[in-house]
Formats: sequence, structure tokens, C-alpha cells
Amino acid sequence: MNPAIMIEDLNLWIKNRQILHNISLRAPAYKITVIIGPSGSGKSTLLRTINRLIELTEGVRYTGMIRVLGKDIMDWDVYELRRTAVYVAQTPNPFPHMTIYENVAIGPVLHDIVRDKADLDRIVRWALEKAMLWDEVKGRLDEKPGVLSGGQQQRLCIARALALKPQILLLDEPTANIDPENTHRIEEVLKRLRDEMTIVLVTHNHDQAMRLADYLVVIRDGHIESSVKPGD
Amino acid sequence: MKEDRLFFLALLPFGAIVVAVFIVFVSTLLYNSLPIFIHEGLMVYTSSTWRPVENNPEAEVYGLLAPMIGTLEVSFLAIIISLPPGLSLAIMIEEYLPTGLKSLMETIIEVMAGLPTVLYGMWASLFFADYLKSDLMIPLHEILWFIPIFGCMPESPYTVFTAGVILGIMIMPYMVGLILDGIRQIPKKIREACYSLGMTKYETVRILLRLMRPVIIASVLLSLGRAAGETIAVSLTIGNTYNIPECLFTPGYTISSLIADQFGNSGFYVYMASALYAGGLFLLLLGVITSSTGLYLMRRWKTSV
Repeated sequence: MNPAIMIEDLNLWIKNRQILHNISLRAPAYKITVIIGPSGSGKSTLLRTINRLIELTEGVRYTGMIRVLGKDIMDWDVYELRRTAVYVAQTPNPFPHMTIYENVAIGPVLHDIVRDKADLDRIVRWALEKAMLWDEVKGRLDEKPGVLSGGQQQRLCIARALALKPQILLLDEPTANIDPENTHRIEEVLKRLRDEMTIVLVTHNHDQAMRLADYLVVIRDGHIESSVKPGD
Repeated sequence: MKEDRLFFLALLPFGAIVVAVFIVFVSTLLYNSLPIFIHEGLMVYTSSTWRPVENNPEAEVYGLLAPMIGTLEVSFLAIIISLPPGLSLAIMIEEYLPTGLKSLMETIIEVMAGLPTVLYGMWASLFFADYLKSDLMIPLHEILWFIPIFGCMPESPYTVFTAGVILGIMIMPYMVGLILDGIRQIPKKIREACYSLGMTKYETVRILLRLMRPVIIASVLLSLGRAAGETIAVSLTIGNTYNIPECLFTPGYTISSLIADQFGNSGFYVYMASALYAGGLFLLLLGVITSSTGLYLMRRWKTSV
């Protein structure tokens, strides 16, 4: 099977400081690939390069090739690429001025994914159920996300990403600032999503990596140290 | 700590001075307005008769309704004129311009905001007003004559409309500054959330604008307060004629231009200075309401994002 993401000889600089060195890796489709490494090792930068979100950072340049679903990322329409490989940030970032419902609905509405209101309601419910948040918020969809806990907000952000029906989910330490209960729930969410989409997860938590990874990539100082299948 | 307490005590007089000046200022306005309130009651705010009579105080009548309406008309017109370009300019600077051009534009805006208002007034009075009359006011009247505010043919270049336009140009840099400040308060993570969901720059700006709605309202209120008190430029362009301007193309008065224009004469009459103080009280009240509401909205928004 073709990998969902294929990276060859990626070198990346931010303001002339090299962050990534000769990175090559493959993220198989419908698997969880975990990128693990210490803080400052370049793992988040690598993740943000996959859907070109890194280009929002000033002074970035990179060489090498990244293919997403078989197509060079430079040949993608950048917005379509970001809708296909959706990024979820480390710190929950729901839109504070929108309701819980609107937060999930905004993607499908903007990108004409839905036919009518009933269809939108279905997608919102589906995404919230997938993110294991529906039961906690179904009675207060009209409230602002500020009423939710940090862990719930992070699951809301995952639901918001899922509502776009992406083929790839890029998660940047999604449980870094979250309590153990919510961490467990998010891990359950990811395990359930494994069969429906390709997931690339960045973490510095070794135990979490071992619990989730189908493929494990260890990165240190911008170099890939090893790439293994846990259990091998 | 003893040092901390001493340092605090050393600073205290400076804070107290500001509060004391404000209290004295408001008290003076109130005290000096009293004679006209005793003489006319609230008629001073509800009548539009302005009749100074020398050596016969009982016959003096001062109604501020016309300049109060003029103040509101000119200020609202200034807001209507400055908001669309001000908002667009702020978005362009923050979201689209490269760093070099961004700082150039910001410098120009800061210089414009800092220019003495008499310069705007002089420029408008000697140069801009004639073009405004021939190229905008007359065509607007010819096309929209059936709308009462455009219903009269402009006879002079110095009108409520001219003052509103020049005031709009003057407060635009201030408004841009406030909106830019608001845009920059939006956490980076919100903008990143937009882009990570595949939104275009246009879609991102739409989301940010919706998020910023309270800031925009606050900027309008703060600019309104500033516009209402502007004196020199308005005084040089509004025509300084005492009437309730039902049409924008007639001359008028604002409270501030009335004070500037009539203060020199007030020594000849018993109640005129007091009436002008009552006008000042109106401006103070307007300023307090717009500024405090604007600042409240701005602060509440900053804590919510």
C-alpha cells in the first residue's frame, strides 16, 4: 500500500537556522504514526511542514520532497491540502466568539461540505460523537466553548477538524496540557479513528507513544534517530 | 517593607493631583453652568434660540439645541466616513502588507494622527472645501435631492457636510490605531486555527472581524467622543451659523465651534459664558459616556479572547 505521507530528504531552515536535517519517513495509510522526541527537537515543525502550515512562520525555507496521498505538497492547492491533512494544535484553540455548535460547523459551512441544515446537524453530531464529546455537550450546543474544561476544548478542536472529513489528522501533542482522564479519552478517540483516517501524532510522552503507535519515529536535534514498528 | 511604603507614599501625590484636577474641572463646569440653569432651567438644552442682549440680562436667551444637534450630526457623519476606510486600512496593514510597507503605512498614520488639527482645518477651508462642494455636494444633491439630508443646494463650501468629512479624515488614523491594537490582541492560536482548517486569508479575516466586533464598536465610540470635542478644524469649515441643520449642505454650529466662536464675546453679556459652560457640560457628558462605554467594551473583549 502507498504511504499516505512520504517525506524524502527534508531540510528546513527558519531564519537561516537549520531545524530539520535530511528527514525521510513514511506514514502508512490508516495507521497511527507517532513522532517522539524531546522539546525543541523539531517534531512540531516537521508536522506543520506536512500541510505547509509552517509557511505562516516568517523566514522559513525548505528543500526536499513531501508527498501527501501521492501528490507533491507544492502541487496541491494549499487550502485544499490543509483541509485534507488537518492540523490540531497543542493548546486548545476553539473560536471563543462562536458557540460549540458553530465551532464544529464552521469548516463544513465554509467549504460547502453540507447540503442543508439537517445535513450540517448530522455532521456536527457525528464529529462530536467521534471526539467522544457529544454526551457532554449535547444539551448546551448554544453555549460558548469557554464553559468547557481544557480537555473538553481539545476534543472540541478534534471534532472541529473531523467535521471537515479529512483523510489525514495531524496532532501536535494534543494531550500536553490535559488531565489524565481527558488524556485517556483522547487516546480512545484516536484508536477509534485509526480505521478511518491516517493519523500522525507528535508527543514527548514515551508511554503514550507506546500505547498508540503503529509506527514510531524518534527525532532528536532535527535528525531522525530511528523509525520502528513497536513490538518488532 | 518600609522602602515599598515610602516609595508608594512618594508616588501618591501625583495620582492624587490627577484626580483632584478632574474633580476641580468638573466642579468648575457645574458651578459656572448654574446661573444659566437658574435663569432658563433645562430650556438651555431644549431651545434653539440664541439671543444675546446687552445690558438687559432678563432678555438674554441661550438655547443649545441647534449646536447639540450639529455636534451629533458632524460626529456621526465623521464616523460613517471614517469607519469603512479605517477598517479596511487596518486589515490591509495587518493581514496583507509586507513588513517594510507595514511600518511605512503605520508611520504615515501616526504622523497624520499627530498633526495639529488647525492644519487640517486650514487645508480644508482654503483648498478642500471648494472641491468638496463642486465634486461631491452638488452631485449628491442632484442625485439624492429627494432625501431630506441632501435636499438643499449647497450655497457655501462651509457646511455641516464639509465639517463631517474633514473630521472623518482627521479621526481615521485614530480609529485605525484602535482597530490595529484590537487585531494585535487576537491570540496567534486563533489565526492559526483558521489556517489549519484550510481557510483562505479572506475567510480568516471574516472570522477575525466577527471576533473583533466589540473592538470595532468600542473604536467607533472612542472615536465619536474624540470627534464630538474637535474644535478648530470644525470651526474653520462648518460655517458657524446658528440654525438646526436639517440638510447636511447648510452651515451650522457644533458646541465646540460655538464655544470657540463666542467665548470672546461672552464678557459683554451676563449669561452667555454660563451658557457656554453648559455646552461644555454636554460635551463632557457625551465624552464620559462614549469613552467609558468604549473602554469597558475594549477591556471586556481583551479578557474574553
